[in-house]
Amino acid sequence: MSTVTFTFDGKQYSGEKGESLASALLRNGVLHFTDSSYKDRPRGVMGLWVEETNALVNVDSGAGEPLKPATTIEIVEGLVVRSAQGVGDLPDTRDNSRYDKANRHVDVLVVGAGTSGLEAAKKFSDLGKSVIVIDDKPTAGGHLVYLGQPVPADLLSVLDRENVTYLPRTTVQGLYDQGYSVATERRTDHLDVNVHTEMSRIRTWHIRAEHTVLATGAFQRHLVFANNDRPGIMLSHAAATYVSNGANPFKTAVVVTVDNQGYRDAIRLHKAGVHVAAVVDIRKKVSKSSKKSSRKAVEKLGIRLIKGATVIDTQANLDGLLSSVTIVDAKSDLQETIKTDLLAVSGGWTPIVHLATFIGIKPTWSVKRAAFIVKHKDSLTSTTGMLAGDFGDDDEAAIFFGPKLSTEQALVAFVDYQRDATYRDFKRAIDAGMRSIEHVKRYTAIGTAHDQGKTSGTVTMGLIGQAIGKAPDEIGSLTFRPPYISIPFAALAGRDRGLLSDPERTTPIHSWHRASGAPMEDVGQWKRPWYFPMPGESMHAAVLRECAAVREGVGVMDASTLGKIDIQGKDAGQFLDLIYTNMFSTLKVGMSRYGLMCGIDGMVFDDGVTTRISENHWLMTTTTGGAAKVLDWLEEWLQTEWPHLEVYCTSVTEQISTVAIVGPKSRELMKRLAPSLDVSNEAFAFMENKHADVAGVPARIARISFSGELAYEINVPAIYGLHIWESVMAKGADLNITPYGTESMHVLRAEKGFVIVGQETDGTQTPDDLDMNWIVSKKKDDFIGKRSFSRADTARDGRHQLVGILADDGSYVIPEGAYIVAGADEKTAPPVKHIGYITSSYDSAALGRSFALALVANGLARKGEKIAIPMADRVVTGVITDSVFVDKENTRRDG
Amino acid sequence: MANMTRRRTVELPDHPDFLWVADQKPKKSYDVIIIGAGGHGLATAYYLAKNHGITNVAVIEKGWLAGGNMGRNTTIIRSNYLWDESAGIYDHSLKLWENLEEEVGYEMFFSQRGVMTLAHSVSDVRSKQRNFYANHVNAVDSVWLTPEEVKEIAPIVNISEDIRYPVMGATFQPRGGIAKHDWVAWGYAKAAADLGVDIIQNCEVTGFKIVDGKVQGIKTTQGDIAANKVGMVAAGHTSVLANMAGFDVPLQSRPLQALVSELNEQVLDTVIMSGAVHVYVSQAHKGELVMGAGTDSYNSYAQRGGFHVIEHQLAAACELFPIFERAHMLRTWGGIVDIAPDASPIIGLTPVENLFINSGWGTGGFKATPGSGWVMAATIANGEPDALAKPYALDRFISGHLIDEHGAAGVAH
Amino acid sequence: MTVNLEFAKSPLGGAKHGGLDKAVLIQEVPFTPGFDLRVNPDSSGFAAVNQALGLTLNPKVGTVVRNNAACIVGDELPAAGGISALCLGPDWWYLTGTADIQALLKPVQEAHHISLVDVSSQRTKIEVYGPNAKDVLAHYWEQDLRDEHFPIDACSQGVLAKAPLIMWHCCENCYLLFPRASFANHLWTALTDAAVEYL
Repeated sequence: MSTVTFTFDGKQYSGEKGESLASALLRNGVLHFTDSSYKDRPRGVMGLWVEETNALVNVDSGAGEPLKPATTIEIVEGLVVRSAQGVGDLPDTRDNSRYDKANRHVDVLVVGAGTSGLEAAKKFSDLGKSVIVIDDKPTAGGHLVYLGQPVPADLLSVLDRENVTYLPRTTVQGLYDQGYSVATERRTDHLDVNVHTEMSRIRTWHIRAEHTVLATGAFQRHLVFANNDRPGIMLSHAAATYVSNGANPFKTAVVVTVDNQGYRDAIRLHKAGVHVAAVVDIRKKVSKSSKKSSRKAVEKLGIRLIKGATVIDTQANLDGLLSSVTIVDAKSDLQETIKTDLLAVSGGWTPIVHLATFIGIKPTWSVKRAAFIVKHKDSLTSTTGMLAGDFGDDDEAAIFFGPKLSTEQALVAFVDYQRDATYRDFKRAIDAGMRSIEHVKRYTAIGTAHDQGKTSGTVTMGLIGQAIGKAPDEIGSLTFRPPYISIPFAALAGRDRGLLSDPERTTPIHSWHRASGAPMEDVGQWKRPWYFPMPGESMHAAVLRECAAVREGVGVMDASTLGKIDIQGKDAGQFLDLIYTNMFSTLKVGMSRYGLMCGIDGMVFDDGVTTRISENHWLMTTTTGGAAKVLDWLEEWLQTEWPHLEVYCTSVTEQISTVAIVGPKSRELMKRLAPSLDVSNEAFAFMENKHADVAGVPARIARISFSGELAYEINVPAIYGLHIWESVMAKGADLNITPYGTESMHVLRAEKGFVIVGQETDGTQTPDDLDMNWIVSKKKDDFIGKRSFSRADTARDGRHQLVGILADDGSYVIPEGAYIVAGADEKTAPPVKHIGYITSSYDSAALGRSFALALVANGLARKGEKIAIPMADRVVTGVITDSVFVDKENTRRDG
Repeated sequence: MANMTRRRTVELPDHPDFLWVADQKPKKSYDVIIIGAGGHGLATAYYLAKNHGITNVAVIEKGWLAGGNMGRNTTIIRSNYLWDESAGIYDHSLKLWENLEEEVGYEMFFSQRGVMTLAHSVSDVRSKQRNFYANHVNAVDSVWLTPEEVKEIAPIVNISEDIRYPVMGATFQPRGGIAKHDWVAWGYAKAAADLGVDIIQNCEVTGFKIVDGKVQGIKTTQGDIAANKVGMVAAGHTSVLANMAGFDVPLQSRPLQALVSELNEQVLDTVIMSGAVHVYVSQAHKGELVMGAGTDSYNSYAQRGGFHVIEHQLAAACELFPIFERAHMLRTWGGIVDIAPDASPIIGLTPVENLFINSGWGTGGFKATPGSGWVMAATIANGEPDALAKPYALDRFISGHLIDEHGAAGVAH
Repeated sequence: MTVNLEFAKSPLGGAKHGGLDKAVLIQEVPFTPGFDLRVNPDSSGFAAVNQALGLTLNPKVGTVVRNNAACIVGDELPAAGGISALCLGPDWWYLTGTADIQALLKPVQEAHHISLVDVSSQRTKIEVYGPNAKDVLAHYWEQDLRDEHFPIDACSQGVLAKAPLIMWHCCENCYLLFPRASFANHLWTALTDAAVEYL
């Protein structure tokens, strides 16, 4: 045993390495640990492990942690902690510890490495099953460890077996359906105060077990009497264990009990040299068998036994520490005061039922054990040990939670120590009309502290029962929730931090974009270049320059992120006719066509250009954000509605990289890139596709334009995407080839009145609303959405329609999303009736001024009307126009 | 202990000595029965009594009063939804909130500390700015914040460029905030009870008595109870009730999880929501962080969800608020959010005469508590939908006039 | 189709981490051919595909059938004409190997209702090999990696570190991952990070 030095509230102490902080402080005679949260009452350690209600500290050393129970900290050299009064610190420094998670599948998970857990592990391991044994303590053996007794070798050796994995210092935090559990393992706190980065500090295990054995054991609960919270009042098992390990600041003890555990602890206290002044048992008689055991043994030791009595009050010395207790006879009400500095309370064992309740297994009240137990066995879960009600050879515990109290006594009789909630608070709740434990909890805050009612829960159930004359299980069920004990946020965040918190999806050309210094836009998970500024250039200037270059020279854009779906089969054309609003089955081989997709409600939800590669082979494109959704949509219809159609769909979004060269000079550039290709307008018409080698790599080139300019979209297998881009840049250098990003792309298409799904649409626009009646086939019998066009609200007058807006002040760019009122309206101060809103708004190089697209009620009939846009600091005036601003005759697309 | 000062939490006020009659038994009949003693049901009963003088009312609750979504809530109050109809009802509700503690005579810790909704991408900014301007024309208070302004209001937000989805701006509703959910429920319950309303707990509806298409009463585990009018205000279980009454409502019920931390030093005095980074958080008076995110992706009445939802929101929280790294997650829970196809509620008449419905509030329930109760009471009292409730009629799913608030409901709040 | 190595670039540039003799080796195998095949096992196309490929596709999801495609170690080159077929769905296989799969199945495409799509660039291939390969993967992979449940020549689709991919247990202590190309960088960062405690 080595000694370590640690600091508590600024003072240095030493203790034995590995002992708990609580034990070490008791060893040093520190009884007054902290003061209570609200009433400033002195408090000391009361328990052994996570059931501890009082002794919380904020840890300053190592990674730092708020509100840790001192009973669960293994002291190490250099540990620095401060007592807490119910509130945790959140220092502003980063926690640089590593946290991670791991998945495991196993035949059997055994929760608890006490005797019954080890026995279960042995049983399943003997059968050849893979077993994981988890225990939240540093050493296996459960209560044997507290009793200082060795674990039988045949059980302990199970943990070393090949098919058994043992995880100590690991807490099963939650049990979920289908054998899934989550556990947190503390891996470095017990080693030293360093912040480890090469090894995770806490590992979250995700375990999937065919069968889970819950052998979680039990902890003791306290009793409710006046002044039951003084330093020196502890759960009896805790007191006996600390004292037996030499952490003994006590001279005298009184034991108050409802069961035989009190006797066993009295004997341990006696053996450790504490003068046990009396054992006070609420039970007058106990069953014959136990007369042979602990009660008899206590009497044999000459310890005074007071039967049929309990503690009703306690007194303190000038330092606020326990100095004496007052006993009351249950029948005669006669009282007696006994001097003592330790009151060991055995209020009854409370099995740890939490995990079972998480998956809906309800505990049952055992009258014999005076406890809620879980006796359960099914294929997924079983219970054993104290949890299942196997308390060894203990006899009946009395169902007793505390004596009758006067009004004065009730004010200082604590039910929940951490919340300073007393019997008086409890009684008020009952008198106010609360009957459910959930109501009592919310009225009094009992059970809402860090310990989540581990000890106070059953006590409160018992008190309610006593107050309204019902058995504890008639009160209802105490709802426990994961986690079993509190966990740092960062531990569960694991490695999902920083760049790992969500994937950055990148195109093959990404390295070039990054190297150019282009700011990137997040489009869903994709990174797309937003604009490519020259050194010192603002975004505004860059976009104007890029757009001008596209309309006057040649620009290049990475369109690789667009969704692409390969569609094959003899019924593909028919299928597309049903999916799109327009006709596709008549499309010639080698041609592309723009299509619009509606949901069953008739609202536009995606669009894109689809190409007929060959008779029965098509390539659909979707919006970048809609790719997965559209593929799911296609598959749903094929698999559930039209399985008779011979059609197969395959995602090729990342198979193909698309580089678009755009502008009047793109023809020249295309010729240079594909010398074998006849790029004349006659040979290669708008919306046609050609196959040719581009920069030495086979490509499919499509004359598709999202800007209205002459454009060529070069499609290659993605491994050649970067090569095409670099070739474009090289061969276009003397043409002042200008890379442009998503912002310019948005401006250019808006100048042409082309909609962007998700910007001009929000799921409530029909093709008609978008002034795209031309794309709704009059020839087709049916297609998805058609039926809904005639719905009352869809066919009504006054719907929002796509129009253009020009502000009177051409130098002002109206903010996107701004709402529009009819210009004739005198009132512009809110609240005002609006007639629509701005969907897209930009400064235009081509127009030399700003412009916008908007959705306006009956907009198509209102072109020329004045409008106003009320902003916080001004009213912007303007006029409704057509939605096409540039090249209204569509003459530029042939170059 | 000379120079050590420990952080303290705040005291919470005592509750009244008397709230309501425990184990109240139902009478044989009432003028109005409200099914569901959640926030909305209790508010409805209160306003029936207060605004309309209808006091011969019973609120029938299957479990313990306000033990459903009202009892497990992240309590965000705001009215900055997108559509005009939403602005109508949610802002009416907010105006009622502003006077509620005084009107009902109950401390609710209603705190108008503002609600901030962060935007993390160009398209996110665009759609939130539309929401911001929509609020403006509807005279719903709304401010647009730059990242620097976000940081000024909430210093703990990480506005640096080195997180995966940097903050690009935010909307802020100064009048938004939080309140203590149980106390709101108890405030309404006590006030209603004081006005003569019976609150019957542990009483489950097992069927309806309907004659010639008109409701006559309900059947329950505590016997039959007659009524002239019945209102179904049972959140996720409303669809179950509707089926008992012979019709369907298009509601899907999903688990929505939330969590609290232990008590911590106060570091956050406003409410912050983020759709992209998927988390929303506030810090209550005592010091606990109250957090939530999105729903689980399947339908369930189990009131619990998958653990991965918790993990994801904690990772999101650590990214946006690094100071939370050490905070302890203390308790998780799940509720049942009832969602209509357009993420807006269903209020008003049903195919059964004198049977009224108020459900489908999804993630918008708590903030709408006063407004919802108010319009439902008016609707029942007058036998026809209140003006603010009209757009939310059940038949909108036939006409197609949906009020799609999926976006503004955002990260489920 | 042969890869033009002068112009081609794989998502990870053939990156390597760890080593053959270390706890784990993680490396990209660039330019791995891949094809998405759709064919109904009850159709005439099924037999025709089998005949053309020289193997019998197994329509049981999660199985792998190989022809002349044994695993190689180190700097060995794979045998020519090899094919491996990973069953991803009742009518869906991912085909990979050194054989000219496109050419072999062209006649079948013309005569039967099948779909063969070259997805060689859609995904890349990452090898995770070594005594701690399972441990590294288990930091993210939620499916059962135990040999009795995921034996050699088992395959599965799923999400690993938020990256959608196909996993193939190709030989002892060796797993092949086929992530979508745009997720490759992210996946690489996650895997090499997960290997920290083993290397």
